[in-house]
Amino acid sequence: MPFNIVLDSEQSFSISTLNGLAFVDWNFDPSPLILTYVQGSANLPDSDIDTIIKDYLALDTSGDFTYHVRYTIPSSFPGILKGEISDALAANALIGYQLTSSNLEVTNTIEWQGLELLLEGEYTNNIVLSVFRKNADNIYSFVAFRLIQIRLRVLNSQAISVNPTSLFFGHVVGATLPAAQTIGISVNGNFKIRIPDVKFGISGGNLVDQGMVTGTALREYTGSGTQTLNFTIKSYWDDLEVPNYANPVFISNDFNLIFLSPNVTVYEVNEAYINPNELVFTSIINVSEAETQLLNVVCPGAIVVSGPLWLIILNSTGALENTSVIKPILSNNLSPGTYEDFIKVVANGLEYFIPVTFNVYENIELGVSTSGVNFTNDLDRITRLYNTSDFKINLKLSITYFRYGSLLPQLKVLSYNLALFNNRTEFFIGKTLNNILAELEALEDVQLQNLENLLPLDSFAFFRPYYKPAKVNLEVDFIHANNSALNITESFQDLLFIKGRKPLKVFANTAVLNFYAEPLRVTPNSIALFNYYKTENHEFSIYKNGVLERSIGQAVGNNSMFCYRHKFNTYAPGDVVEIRLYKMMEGALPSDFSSNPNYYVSQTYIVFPEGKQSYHIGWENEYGVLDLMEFTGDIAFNMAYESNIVKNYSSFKEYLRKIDTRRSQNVVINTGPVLQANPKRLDSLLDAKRAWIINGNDDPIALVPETKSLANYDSDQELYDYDLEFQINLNNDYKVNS
Amino acid sequence: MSYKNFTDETVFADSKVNVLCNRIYDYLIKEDSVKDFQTTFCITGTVSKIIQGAALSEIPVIAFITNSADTYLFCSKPLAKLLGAKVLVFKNRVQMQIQGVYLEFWLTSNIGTIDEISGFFVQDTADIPTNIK
Repeated sequence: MPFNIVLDSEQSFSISTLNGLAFVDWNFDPSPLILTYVQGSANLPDSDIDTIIKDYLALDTSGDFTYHVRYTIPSSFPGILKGEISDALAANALIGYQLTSSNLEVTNTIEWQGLELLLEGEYTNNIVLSVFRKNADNIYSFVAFRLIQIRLRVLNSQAISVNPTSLFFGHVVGATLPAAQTIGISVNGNFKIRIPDVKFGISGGNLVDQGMVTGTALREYTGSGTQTLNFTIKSYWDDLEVPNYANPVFISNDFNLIFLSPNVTVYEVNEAYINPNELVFTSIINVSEAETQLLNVVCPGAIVVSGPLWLIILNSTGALENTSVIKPILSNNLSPGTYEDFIKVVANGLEYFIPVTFNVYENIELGVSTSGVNFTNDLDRITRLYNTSDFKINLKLSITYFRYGSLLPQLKVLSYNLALFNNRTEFFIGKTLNNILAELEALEDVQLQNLENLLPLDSFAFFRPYYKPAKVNLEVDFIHANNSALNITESFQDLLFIKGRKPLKVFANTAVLNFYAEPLRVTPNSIALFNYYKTENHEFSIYKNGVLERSIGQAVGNNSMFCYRHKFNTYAPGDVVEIRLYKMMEGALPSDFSSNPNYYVSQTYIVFPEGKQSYHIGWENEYGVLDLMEFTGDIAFNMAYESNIVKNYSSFKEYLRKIDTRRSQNVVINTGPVLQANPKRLDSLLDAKRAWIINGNDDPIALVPETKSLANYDSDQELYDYDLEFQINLNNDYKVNS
Repeated sequence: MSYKNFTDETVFADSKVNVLCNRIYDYLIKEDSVKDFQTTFCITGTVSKIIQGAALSEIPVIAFITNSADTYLFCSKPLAKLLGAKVLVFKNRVQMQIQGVYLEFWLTSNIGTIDEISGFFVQDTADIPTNIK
């Protein structure tokens, strides 16, 4: 019988009162332990410190070891540690407290002794808990240590102290006054408190109201002995304009006078300021745990911070200004992956949600997209490998790449041995591929030798494919130095790469292959190549001065990197032409799909008047595609000759004889006026290994860019134009370009 | 032959969920460290109640329970790795998420009566802990 159970669209886990994690880290509560002792008073009561010991056994499954904890108290420190750990140590001082999976939560008790010998002052010290691993031969090796921090303040018997020494209140004008806060007075004998009566109130303990102090705005209270009191603010603060300064409260006994500083912040509206507005953590299982991060909240009232079960939040409650200390749980409790949730902040009754991400890696942080295309020079695509120093790494890249205009796969296998330093190493797959992937050696390879129509459909829409993205299969072997059973192999298939940096604006499977895609100057004589990456059949649009001029559909077939040739002979100077390439969308298209820049990447062309000359220079840019720019300035070809002349000697006479002539030719071309942004494109040209002068039906002239400098910005210039110099790659020794 | 009883009995209306549960049982059957899982591992919570005849209702989580420490250990990170799931491991339960489906694996010292219905081993309704959805 079919059951046909339907899952609730809002999935949720069952609730449990027990939320102990399988793998726990150290924790002490309280931490630090802070105490005050007044000389001459009774001895301090025992102090309990709830302790959770990290589960070292769960992390070491070899079974050949036992783990033990020993403690050390500095000899100069007053008091002794007493409790479960000390009992175990007392029974076997050398072995220490042997850990099992069920005795990790203990209460350590500090019994105070010798306090009467302490002089007035602040004492800070630590009890050291050291963890040792014992092997079958009873040899102990040190593993780790943790500190129980203790701060002891010893006061003179004549002293008086207040804790805290400052109070902070927040109040929204017109709202209910905030709740009372407590202060502790530590004193032997009688004391007096004087407070600004119109601003504050105080109660509790054995206080007696002695009335107003004559000639002042202060009310006096008296009391006796150590006690806790309640401190409140009054309706005086229900005004945005009241000044908040000089509000001291005077507390004294017969010997000393101290001050309590209450601070009140008055808010116009009830809202919170939270920083940062997003948290991201990263842990590597068994290698490194995420660092703690701080979350600051400022608001007029109480603050409560809570989060998912995989976060530990310390200082989760407070008021007015609170800094929570946040870190993820031990990554051993999680599987590798990205965990996303929200930290909930309730600030004076209002709820805020801060996104939090926890990346958990195990051995490999691939860094490379497994679903979309990667760019070889993208510095965000670095692979990081982690393990202990017992391992070395063998990394194998099986690369399938394609030549220009060919669907025939080329195979290359590379193997690298890597060592770990500080449990990690890095590898840049993209940089490695740059040495492998095919280069655009000749324009004939992509049928762009003269930019004219060659194929039947060119007159309708001129497209040319370039090369198919390389596919990389990555295999990572972690090889243990002594035990092959511990070896680990991880594999990743079909990682796609194309050359270059990731363009500034890119969608999944859609990109214009120009890093900046800045506007380009053209003239009515210009031809432009619009280079792009697209994996699915699509339609792109051409806009003239913001009005749709034409839409062109394209079936991508087996290729994904293309150029579209666009001529500007129908445009007039001043026209702005934009080619828009749209992202792929599922379902119904939004009404503003064609006009909203969030849905397309584009290239803009600005039409200038024709220049004196017209030469198109093409070059292979960082993506391995042909970029094109019309140069409209002057052009000069220069020949250079280097004669090879030797000295001959005949009949007692030396004479010169020419053996050979080396001819070289260079060309200097002026760009003509270009846009201020276009040096970016010239930079790409000068960085290219090869370029061509493409001129109608003539054969392209192969160039090697050799200009040595370029002024990106010149405040003296209003119009930008540049002289660029190229060496000509002569296709035969007697060729003369003129 | 792979385990496919969830698909055969159309336990869940969404075939993806049936395949997911089939895979869990397939991994358990083939895992050496899991011993006698048919007597130590069963379905619990609302799914168990529905299989035992309770009224159909939408379920927020698919829950399993075991009294075997070895089975529980396997159902934590090893199983999550095989399934490609995200997991959070507590002392008493494992919370797992995969493709929007929530799964729980509870460890108990008292599993009570395990009934067999339509080829499924389910915790008797009377023994299902009240806090398990």
